[in-house]
Amino acid sequence: MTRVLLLLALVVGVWAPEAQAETDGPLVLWHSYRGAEEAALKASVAAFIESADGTPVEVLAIPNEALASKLQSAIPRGNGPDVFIFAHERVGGWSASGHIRALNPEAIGGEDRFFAETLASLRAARPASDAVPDPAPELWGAPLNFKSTALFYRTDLIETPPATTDELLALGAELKARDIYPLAYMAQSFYFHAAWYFGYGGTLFEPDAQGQQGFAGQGAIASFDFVAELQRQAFVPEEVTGALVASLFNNKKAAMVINGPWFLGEIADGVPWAIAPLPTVSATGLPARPFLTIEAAFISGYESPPERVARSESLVRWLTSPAEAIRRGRDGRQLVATQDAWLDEGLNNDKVLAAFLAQRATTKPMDSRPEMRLVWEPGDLALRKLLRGDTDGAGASVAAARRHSAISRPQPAESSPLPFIILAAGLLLGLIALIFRGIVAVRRRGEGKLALMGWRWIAPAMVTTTILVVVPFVVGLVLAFFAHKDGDWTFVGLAHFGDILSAGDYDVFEPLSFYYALLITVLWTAVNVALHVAIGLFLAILLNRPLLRLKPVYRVLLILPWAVPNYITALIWKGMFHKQYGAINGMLEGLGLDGISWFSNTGTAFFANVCTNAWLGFPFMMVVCLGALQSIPKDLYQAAAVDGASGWQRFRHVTLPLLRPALVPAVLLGIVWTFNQFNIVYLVSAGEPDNSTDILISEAYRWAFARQDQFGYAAAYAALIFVLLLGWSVISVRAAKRAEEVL
Amino acid sequence: MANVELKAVHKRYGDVHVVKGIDLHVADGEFLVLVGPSGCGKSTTLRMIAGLESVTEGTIHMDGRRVDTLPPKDRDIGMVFQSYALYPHMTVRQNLAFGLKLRKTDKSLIADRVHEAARMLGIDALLDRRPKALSGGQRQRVAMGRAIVRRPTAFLFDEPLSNLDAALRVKMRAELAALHRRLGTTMVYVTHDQVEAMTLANRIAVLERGVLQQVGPALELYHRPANRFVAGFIGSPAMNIVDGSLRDGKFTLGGVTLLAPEAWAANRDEGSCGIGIRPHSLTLAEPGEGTVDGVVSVVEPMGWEAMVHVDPPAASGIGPLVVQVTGATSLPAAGETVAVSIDLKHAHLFAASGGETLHSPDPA
Repeated sequence: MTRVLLLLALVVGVWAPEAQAETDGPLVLWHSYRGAEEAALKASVAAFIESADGTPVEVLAIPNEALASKLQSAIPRGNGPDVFIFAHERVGGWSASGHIRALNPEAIGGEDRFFAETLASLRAARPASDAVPDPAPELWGAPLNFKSTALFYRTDLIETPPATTDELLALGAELKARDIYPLAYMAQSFYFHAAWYFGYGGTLFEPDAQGQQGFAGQGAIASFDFVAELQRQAFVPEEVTGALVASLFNNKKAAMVINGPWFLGEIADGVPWAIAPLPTVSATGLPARPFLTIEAAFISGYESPPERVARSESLVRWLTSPAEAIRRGRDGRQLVATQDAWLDEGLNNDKVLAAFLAQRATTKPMDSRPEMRLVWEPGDLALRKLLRGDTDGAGASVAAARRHSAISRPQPAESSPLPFIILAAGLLLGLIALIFRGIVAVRRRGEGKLALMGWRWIAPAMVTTTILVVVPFVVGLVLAFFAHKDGDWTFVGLAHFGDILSAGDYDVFEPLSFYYALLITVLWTAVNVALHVAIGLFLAILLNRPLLRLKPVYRVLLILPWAVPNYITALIWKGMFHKQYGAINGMLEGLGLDGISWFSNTGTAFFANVCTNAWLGFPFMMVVCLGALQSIPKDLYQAAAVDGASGWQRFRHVTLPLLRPALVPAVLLGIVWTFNQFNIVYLVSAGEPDNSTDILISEAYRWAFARQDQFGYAAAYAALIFVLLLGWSVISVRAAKRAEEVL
Repeated sequence: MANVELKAVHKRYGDVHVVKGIDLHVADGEFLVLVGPSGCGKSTTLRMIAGLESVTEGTIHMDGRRVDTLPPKDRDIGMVFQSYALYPHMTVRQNLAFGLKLRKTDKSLIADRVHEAARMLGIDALLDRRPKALSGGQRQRVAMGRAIVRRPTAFLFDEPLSNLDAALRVKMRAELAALHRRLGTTMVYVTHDQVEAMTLANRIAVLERGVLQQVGPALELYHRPANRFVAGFIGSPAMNIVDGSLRDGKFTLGGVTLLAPEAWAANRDEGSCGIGIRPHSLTLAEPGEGTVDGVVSVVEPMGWEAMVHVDPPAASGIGPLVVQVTGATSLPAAGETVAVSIDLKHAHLFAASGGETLHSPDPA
């Protein structure tokens, strides 16, 4: 009985019913704050409960990386929070898909309560309809805090921060002479570059002064050229990571840093520093305008009784009130969006907060429409190309525009699901018929009872496998036939497969083409597995020598790479391949050779990936080989020695053929693992340069998560990978059987 | 074909002294069997000849050529292992041809040799099978064939029949003897089974604890064992050995005193010593009418003969005796009391210390 209940619970868990929000019951608030910010929020909510009519509020913290997907799946089912705190970036998509509710400004304390810039990103028009063809933009969230980058500088190196880019360059020459980087920031990231981009007059979605738009504009090109100049003069370090920025700044190797408020925690004690707004771009006279991002309180869009919505509104109004904003500013050290809060002395006298407040006046509110998410990849691509020295500003602009058009694939036309439904139904019927035939056959043989018993035994495994493997697999497969946009799914039939296989959007021999990625994947798999086997076998032979001392010690040491989580290893290797600070270039330079910019070139980046994965993969093959070697009878070697075989001949004619039965399955397995070795490619080369080292699985990941949630297209990629590996398994199972038959 | 000569050969593994100075000469074309109990160093000695173990001290020559410094492949020997050591991934044909192939022998010659060996061993129908598809006896033949095809100057066998069942062992034993007659090649054969040793060997070398005890033809070892160990080891069922003392021409064992035969005159006052009598030289008698009484513990009837195990009383100081009874009409039952008659005329006399043979009876 208990088991039945458990099973039922599991089933109910899988098909969660659509819950209807009740009128009563506590308000639910989701957020992803931690530490002081969370404490401030909780104090604020506690005060709300007390001040109001004792309305209970449940506060739930959810990890930041999971919050968006949880909201997206929970809200349509009515299971989500009443109020949640999130960045403004999804406003465009969620307002269109109904995940969030348009706010009545009066209900949340009036628009005047907030800095005007902070409201801009929270406005979006409702989708046009027949009744309202051109609706006015509405407010969808109440801004709580804002963030932008600003200029951190070391006061022991710089007296007055540069007010213009010309001053910056002049100062740079001076500092460079003292072997100090004038400026350290993640120049290859479009988020950080945005300040220059807008400062030079670049635009993303509106036409610029010349009527150009996006990456093709003159402003964009000029901003790219400016970064190229910084790089050319070596005013910025190469291949910058967040950790490197902090380390250079703390060690007095970098005088200035462009970074956001999160950098405060990374500055070491005893470092004299201050913050200033970013300099004005001398060429245009415009201020450098970093992106302004907003954290806002949203009210979920699902059906809810009006009195409950009213209570949600009063909670939002409470949270954005000056008193509570002051609490968040003082206790949580957040940059609050409520204007009057800054009258508070505590906030106003805080130099850090004040500096970011000053920077706010010259920021560019980050657009909240879904298309914004297609900006990052082309922007980053252009910057990386530029910083590698592959191109100039104009070339970078062309590359970015090209990539932008490639990844903003037009949605395929809707197609009729009818033929597919008929086909699926046919397959299902066929399957049922097959099962039925089997049952009949079993009963005719009088083995019905026996079969039933067998089924009962495998039922737990079958149920688990069905839930954990079969259901996700089928869902994934079905997704490939749908196109996703802002929560809406459109049936498009085989269009995704057609697009992928025709590779019509880009050159066949260019990154992003399925065939190019396939070629890289096959090459990647072949090289890696060959290295795994060669190194593993070599070490196994060394370890198998009977007279080797300290054998257990070596064995443990050599298995270690396998025991360390592979993403940690990947990050270590990535660091070792760093152009300026990596151990490998350090060694090369020690030998009097030039350091190599590993990730600037497809060959060397691929090599870096292969090194990492070879390091990770050889222990498995070593263990397999060692086991197999130990099972080869010593007699055979002695017989071969008497037969006249030399050491090499014994290896060639005895060891190798007898390793085959163990090695062939291991190699076939290794091929499948390596084929889908996402972690290494994603973390080490990250597809650099220009996605040319991406393999199929990392390409699929990018379509799903880095290119505006094109889940259907990514699912089609995954389905193709599955077909490839399925074909491979069929071949490999046969090969493995043949290898085993030998003995 | 070659003679093999071991001179003062020692083998040590660290502190363990396994082979303690063996001098042995194997004549050209001879079938020499190295025999001894487990751990006596016989296999190690063979493997030193093969070159699979290094020689710690001493030298090995084949046909006057020093070989102990050469790798196995340069010694021109063929070896058959207890486990057969067939290459599992090769067919019988490939197994046979392997050694020749490594020596880059002409292909047609390889084929001829393989067929010749296969015919000789009766395995020509199995040439395309893999070892796993063969029976134990067939594998054994393939292992021998592998040694034969190369026509080495000497064959080394390391307990080749141990993994076979009893019937097959007898059969293969005969085939091996026939093979030796036919090839006439020097063979050195290791076994712990003294029956194998006696039936196959031209000469037997008995080893114990790394020391060579006696080398000679089977019957010489049987009739004139050099010492108590060889006497006990050679011959089946094993010789009965009883300790006693010899004084004034009288031999006392337990509470019984027997008159020593005249042939023992030289040792009439030897003192403590041992005597050995083969089971067929003992006879059963009615209780009280033999040399010593005892209780029958086991009777092993074998048709035309039977082994009767008799336990004399503990007080007599005489251990269990085995009496071989041939053609007996009525055998005693277990638990019955019988007497065993000992006739010292058929007894070997061993010294107390060292156990060397002082006197052996003339074979009757």
